[in-house]
Amino acid sequence: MTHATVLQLAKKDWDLWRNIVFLYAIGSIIGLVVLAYPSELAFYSGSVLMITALVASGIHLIMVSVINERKLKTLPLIMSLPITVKDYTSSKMLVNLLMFTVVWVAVVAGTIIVTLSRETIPNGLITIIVILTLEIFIAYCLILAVAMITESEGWTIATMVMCNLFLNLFLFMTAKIPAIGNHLTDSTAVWSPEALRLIAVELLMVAIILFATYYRQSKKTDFM
Amino acid sequence: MNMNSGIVLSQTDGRPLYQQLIDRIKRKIALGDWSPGDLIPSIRALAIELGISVITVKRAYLELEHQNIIHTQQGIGSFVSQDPQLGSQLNRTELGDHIKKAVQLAETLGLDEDELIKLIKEHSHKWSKT
Amino acid sequence: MTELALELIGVNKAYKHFQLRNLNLELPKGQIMGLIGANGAGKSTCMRILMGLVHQDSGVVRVMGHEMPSQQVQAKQEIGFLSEDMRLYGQSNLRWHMDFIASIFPSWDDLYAQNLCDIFDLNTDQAVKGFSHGQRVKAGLVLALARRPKLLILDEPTTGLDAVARYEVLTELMEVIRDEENTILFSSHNTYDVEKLSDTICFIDQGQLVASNDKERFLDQWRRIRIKLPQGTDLPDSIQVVNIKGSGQERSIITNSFSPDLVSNWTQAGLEVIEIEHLSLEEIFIAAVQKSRRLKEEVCV
Repeated sequence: MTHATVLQLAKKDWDLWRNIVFLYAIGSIIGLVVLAYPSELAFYSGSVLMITALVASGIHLIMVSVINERKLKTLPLIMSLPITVKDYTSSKMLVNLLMFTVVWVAVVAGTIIVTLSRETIPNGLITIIVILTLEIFIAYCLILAVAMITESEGWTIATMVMCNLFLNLFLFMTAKIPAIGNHLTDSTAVWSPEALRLIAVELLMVAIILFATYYRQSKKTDFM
Repeated sequence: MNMNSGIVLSQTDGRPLYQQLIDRIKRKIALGDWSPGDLIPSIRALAIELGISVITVKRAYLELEHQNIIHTQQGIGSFVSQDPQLGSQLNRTELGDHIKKAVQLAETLGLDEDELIKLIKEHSHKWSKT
Repeated sequence: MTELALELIGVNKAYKHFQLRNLNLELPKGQIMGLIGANGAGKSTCMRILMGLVHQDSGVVRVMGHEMPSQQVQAKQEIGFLSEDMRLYGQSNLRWHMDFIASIFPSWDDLYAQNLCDIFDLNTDQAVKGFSHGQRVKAGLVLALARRPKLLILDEPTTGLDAVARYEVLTELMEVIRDEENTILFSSHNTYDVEKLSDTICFIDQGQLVASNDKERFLDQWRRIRIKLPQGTDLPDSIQVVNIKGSGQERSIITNSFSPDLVSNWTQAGLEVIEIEHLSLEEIFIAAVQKSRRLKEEVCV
């Protein structure tokens, strides 16, 4: 019974917010077109555009689907349905991850395809592209977790700011790791043990954050 | 089952709703709108029609049963009592109440018996001619 | 024994600045219960506990026979809930909302829903952000009622409605109890609505149940008695007095346990009873709350 309800709730959010998903997916495709243009300036502005679209899509989706549910008082309607806080959490995590993943996959796959197909862009960049976009995925999960657990706009925005500041630091530090930074201009992607370890840690963090959120939510006694 | 009672309660009448309802039902019977033996609306149906609580209608019906004006058969419904004299009886009771009030007023005004009877006659087309 | 639609036994819930204390409440199926209380008295908290949205610190809560909050999924399958602070998704229309609720409740009655929309004059194709407050409440009611719930829990359903909308809403609520199994719990600070519709009435103040009784008994037992007190005489000590006003020889007394015996006792004690009056529910509420607060202060002092 409840599984079906969780899916219905997720479908409801997808119906409501899928246009935002498509909008950002289109935004990132425009970024790709710019990226593919054979000039260094185009490459950098294209990358910035895509990273911005990716980060912004996550923030936008969390705001409308999680924070606004409480702020705009649609939560009482949802919680009057035969569901528990756990079900609510499951549906929100499910639909948000799905929506963000659509944009994320569009960005990552598009970037890799462009990088592979363009002679001017070194394929060695692919490693750091994966590492970087995974970091953005972690940041997204963290913001989602904070939004779900605190249900506070303030805390969510604070986390977003911290995550965006950290993104630059992370990029800088990752490029400083010789096993990764020294291969950026190589003609093929180099998957050094350091790079693979970093990717594994990133994936682990995603899992930990999602699990912790789910666990914390199931302990909630006051939901409204 | 569309059984509209046609009863209307007053919002400005100071008395409790159940008393108003008793009076309205008695009036319906006195006027012959509800005849002896008639099935009257169920408690719930009347409560919904009038937008008042079930417990209020229940109380009015109980009171009317005590006065033998209606009776209830479990599982079937409530009926106006079979007594054929019921309508005129209720009219008489009401008339008695009015006369009581009139007499009281007359006493405060210091009218005597003849003066009151004269006043009563003045209000009737039939008697005022004689 | 009649089956209970809801039951609260010794329920406590503490917040930083507010406490629900030892709440005991029973509502048999088929009845309408009105919950009256000032803002912040604990009505909404009480309803949220009943919906499993807030977990009680201690005490037993059963809704339609289901333990709350552990069995809230089963319970909420039978509940239609509407609260004053409930909003719909602004950019979507009512039809979309109806389809969404229908996808979750197998009991959804779409014919009834459309019928209600006609009665309430609601445009199901218009984005709900353009709805007035009254239309929003009515739309919420359509979503709650067309689930065909066995229990309706309504937090301030008539607050802020104009007279016509209020009438329409209350009329449809009464229609719900045509089915003798259906039960309604609603809160209001409009005592007039509660007085008219409820079978049972509860007063809540400062997180506590101040009084609870069937309505007819409430209105019967709470009376204002005007008496003449001969000079030099004192009122006999009597716990049945809730409130006394007046000076000189005339006193007006509010009692919560009126009976013909009470009056004859007073007469024997040398008091002259001038008039016995009924009270409106609002007057009863105010007197009951004031008495309860007075008692609390005395305990504190």
